[in-house]
Amino acid sequence: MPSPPADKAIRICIYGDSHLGCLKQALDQGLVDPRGYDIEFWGADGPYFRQLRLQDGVIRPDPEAEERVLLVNGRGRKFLRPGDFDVMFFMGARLRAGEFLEFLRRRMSRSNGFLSRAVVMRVARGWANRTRSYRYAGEIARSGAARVVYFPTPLPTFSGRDGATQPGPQEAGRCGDVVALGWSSLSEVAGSDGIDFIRQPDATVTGGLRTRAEFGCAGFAEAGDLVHKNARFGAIVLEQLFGVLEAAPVRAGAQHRRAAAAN
Amino acid sequence: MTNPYAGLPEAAFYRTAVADREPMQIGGLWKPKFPIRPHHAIVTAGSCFAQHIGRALLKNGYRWLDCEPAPRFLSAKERQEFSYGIFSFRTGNIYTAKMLLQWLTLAFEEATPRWAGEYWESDGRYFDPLRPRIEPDGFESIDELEMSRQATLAAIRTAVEKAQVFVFTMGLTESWRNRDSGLEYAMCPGTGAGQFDASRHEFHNHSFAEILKDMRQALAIMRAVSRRQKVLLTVSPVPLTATASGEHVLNATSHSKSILRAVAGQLASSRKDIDYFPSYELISSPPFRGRFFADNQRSVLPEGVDFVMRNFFADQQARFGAPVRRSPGAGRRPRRRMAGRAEDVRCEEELLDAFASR
Repeated sequence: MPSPPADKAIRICIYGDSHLGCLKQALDQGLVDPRGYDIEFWGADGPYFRQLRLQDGVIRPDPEAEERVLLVNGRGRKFLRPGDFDVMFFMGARLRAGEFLEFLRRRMSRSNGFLSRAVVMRVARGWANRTRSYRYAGEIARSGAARVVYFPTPLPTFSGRDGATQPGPQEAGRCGDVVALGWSSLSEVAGSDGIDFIRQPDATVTGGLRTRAEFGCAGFAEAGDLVHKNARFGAIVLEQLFGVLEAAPVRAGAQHRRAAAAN
Repeated sequence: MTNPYAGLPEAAFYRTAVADREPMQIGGLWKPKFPIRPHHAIVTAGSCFAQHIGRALLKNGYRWLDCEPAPRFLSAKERQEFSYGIFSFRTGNIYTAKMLLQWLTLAFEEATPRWAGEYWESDGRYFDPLRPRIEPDGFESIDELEMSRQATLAAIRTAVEKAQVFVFTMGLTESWRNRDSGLEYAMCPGTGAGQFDASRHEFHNHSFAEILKDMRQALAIMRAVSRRQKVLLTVSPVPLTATASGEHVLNATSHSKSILRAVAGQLASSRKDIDYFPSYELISSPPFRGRFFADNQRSVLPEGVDFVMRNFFADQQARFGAPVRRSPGAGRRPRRRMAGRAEDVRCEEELLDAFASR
């Protein structure tokens, strides 16, 4: 499939919660080249994010969240119609993959806790579908309104202060197998729901379950903010997104919608 | 006293204890040897009827041990599909005394028996001959099968170590085994998984003596782990699905259940810490006229299970008094929400920093 013409950029809506921040910083600081893409943010932070609701194919904020959505969007788009975009990119949006991986690691480390891959798949599906945004992503993907890509909430930043320790080589090996199983099951589940799932790149991860300290937000250790990440991390996420879109290109102008309808 | 029967209680006479009563008023069949209280750790295993006992105990606030619990996020249907929460560990049905002995041997004996290494393969999937239906589509590799079995063996060890009461429901005398290794299968190869090979697989109908011996060995393994453990035996009232004995299936059922009932009676009469609970009689006896069986004349209806368990609790109460039940919500603490609030504040700062400056 040919690359999009320069004058016909692929329209990407980046939807999410406060994790949109690191992507915005990456773009503002010029750490990624967004040429060929028309990127628009839409979302809100924590308490307001919970007030965004998908109904009849449109995501709307409750009145209390409108102001925050408009601030994030910056283009006056109060309601989000996925069909207005070629790609809906879910960033974070409460899908805390780290919790799932940690759950799996703890469970599988118990002598009676082994789970077959078939069971892990069911667990992954059950876990993902507890998150409203994931259900929204699946609904949008099924509707064919836009191509849906999902990057889950980044793993907590390793600070050395929260009880987490760097695992030894043997422990890291066992943990690594379980974590790999967890990521692959999430990818597979998402794939079966029509969602391109991007797992957090290994280069940003330490000990399987933590984000490397160099990607933590400014002053994260002092502030105790292990959640948010910096612009460099945002740049890596965007590169991953562009990589996915280049690997299986989507054409500007509702191509995805027509393709889905034809199927 | 004119003869030994004069002065015996009503329960000793068929007319007064059975024939003159409405069937649902028949009771007092069990004179329990030891109390089973809600706080006692109870393990259930065995034939399919055992699952009803575990479920009923849990429903009535008893401490039924689930030593290999289902992972979170599985639906009730999925838990059932993958045999979680049916017995105290994920063995699937343990139909015979020999199979119980095999599981306990694997769990507690240091040397791995020669027969333990057999696996069934079909279309690239692997099935555990000890529990071929535990994963509906089999395991993806022998390693996965083995790791899953090890988890179940760990669960069995925990169950036997912790159980104050071990309830075992005896189900079958008929079995299929490997001619060379002696491994007894959970089901005939080729019926649910695996492939039947007459040169390698043989039918065996256990005798009274064999079952008694296997049960004694199994009980000895458990007793070596926990000397204070009580054992409650029951016999499944569910008739055989099919027999390979050459007899009519009704005769084969009668033969099988009679032997199991006799073994259970023999063991219960020989030791103070082993009791027999008559769930078999409460479902299958003539005065109940098959009312507790479903249309297939095999499956036990929920009202049958309720009747059995009502008798269980009533007989316990008659002998040992009413149990003190724990409140289901006792000891729970309200969740703390402070961490969530602090995170909300940080999220707001993060977003305002990124977007408010344009």
